[in-house]
Amino acid sequence: MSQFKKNNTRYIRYMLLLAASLWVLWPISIMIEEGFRVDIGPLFSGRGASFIGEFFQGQGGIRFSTIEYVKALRIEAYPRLLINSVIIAGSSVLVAALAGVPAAFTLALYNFRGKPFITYSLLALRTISPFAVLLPFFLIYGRLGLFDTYRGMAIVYLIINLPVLTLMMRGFFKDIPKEIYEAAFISGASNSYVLRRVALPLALPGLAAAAVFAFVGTWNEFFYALFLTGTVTKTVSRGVWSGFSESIESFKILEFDELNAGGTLAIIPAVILALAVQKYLARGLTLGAAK
Amino acid sequence: MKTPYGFLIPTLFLIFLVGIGPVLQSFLLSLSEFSLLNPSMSPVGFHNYIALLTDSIFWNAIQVTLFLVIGSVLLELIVGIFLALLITNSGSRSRRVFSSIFVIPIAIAPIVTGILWSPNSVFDDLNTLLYYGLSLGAYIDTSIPSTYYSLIMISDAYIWAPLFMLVTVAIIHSIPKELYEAADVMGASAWTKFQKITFPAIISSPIIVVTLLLRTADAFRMFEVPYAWSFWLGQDSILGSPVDTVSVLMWKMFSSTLYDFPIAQITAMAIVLLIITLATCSLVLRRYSNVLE
Repeated sequence: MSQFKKNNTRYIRYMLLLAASLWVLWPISIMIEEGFRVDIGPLFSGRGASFIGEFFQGQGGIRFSTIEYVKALRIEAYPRLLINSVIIAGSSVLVAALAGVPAAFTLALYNFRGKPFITYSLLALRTISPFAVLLPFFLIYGRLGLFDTYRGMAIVYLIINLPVLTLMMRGFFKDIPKEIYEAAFISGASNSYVLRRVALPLALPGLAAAAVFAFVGTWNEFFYALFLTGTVTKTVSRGVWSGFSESIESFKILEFDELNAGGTLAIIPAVILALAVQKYLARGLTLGAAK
Repeated sequence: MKTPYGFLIPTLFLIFLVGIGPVLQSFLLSLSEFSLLNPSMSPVGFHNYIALLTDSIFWNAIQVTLFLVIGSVLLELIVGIFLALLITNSGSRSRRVFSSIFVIPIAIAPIVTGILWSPNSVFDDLNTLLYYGLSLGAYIDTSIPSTYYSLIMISDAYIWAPLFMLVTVAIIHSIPKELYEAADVMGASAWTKFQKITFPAIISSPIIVVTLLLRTADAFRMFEVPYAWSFWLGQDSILGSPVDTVSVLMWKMFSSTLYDFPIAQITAMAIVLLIITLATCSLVLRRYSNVLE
């Protein structure tokens, strides 16, 4: 009896797990599937029943086709958007790492007067409403000619990358046992030597995880891209929404098949990268609260 | 060793460049009369704020935002805890497989989630299933507020419930095994163990409180999903429509009359949001700074 009950609860658990997976995967699978569709209905519109060869075609209908993917990658500017996103996210993460890692080292090891201020402003920068900084950027970029340039976009994305890298790296530096630092300092090493030769090599997996995490965040970011990119630097997440072509898209009709194909192409790298740093996801998203 | 203040200079410079500087300029803009057509700033004091606080469109947006924030954060918490319980109670191999599946939505761009949960994709198929497949003759009408509010919450929970799952799994793993052993000795049922041990441990954990606070602050600026929904519902240019969160409202004001958008009013609204954010952050740091260390 007890064995039966145990088996029963296991089945129920597996059913629930499968149901939860369905909740996660179903919308994604629909998107992928709809990207592979083409509606040939318009070919037959107004003609009633049609025949191609000897086969009854009804009112046209929906066919399997890879045309949307081919179109996105071969005809439209989708590869360009991928390159744009990689350039912008990569350079922004690089700058954030160069500035943030030494600061994270200092925040992790020392107590000094301005420390709460720095932590607070980093936390606030992470959670700030984009509109609070957006309009000054919009006005200044218009004046300086940084609007729709790689440099400008890399600077804007520091708003999200700098806090993520600094606060995550602070946690990783803190994870290194104090004795290691003490031993290094007692033997007369300077701060920069300890950072380069002791702390960084030990925290290297953490740095890679933080960089990948920030990269995915920038890749997925939509808001700043919507306002500050134009035809030159349009990123993937913006292109998915407003069309991948390089021309001005305001008069473009929203095509659902294209949207779904673009969405599928956009999430593939993000999902792969995020699964690679899965262990650190909670840590990155809560800025170090969940270890 | 002496504190290496030099290490902080680049970060401080960047904080001023992309954070404090623009925020201060936003604040100045919100205190003045300013437009692109007439770019001379003339100070008007708190006039913009007063105009904002007496505007029914703004209050509508605030209500919608609050409603969506509370609903989606609660839904995320509940779904997250549910997923975490499922994960922690299964064997190690299925745990690894299923937790990888469950974290996928975090990696998906929010705007793509807006496409995923659009009326045209998921609900098309769901409605076909409900109407014809199960012959219920019923369908989900995505165009009435009571439905699409819950759908926006579901879309948002789709992205963020996995975060609560990850956090909850970490908390459950930190509960001492002895507690469960003692409960087993006393013959407690699985439900009693959950009720008396697991649930209180999850809810009282400072980590989950910090995550909740950060998520709430994040949800206040919720943009992509409601933006996509306002598009699906064809209300992407109507000010004061029931899909307007504060961010979407600001976007509409920005884009509707592109060459003379009311910068001052938009920044005033943004400053109101900013104050909410800053208050949440100082609450987190004051009460829970040891958690973030």
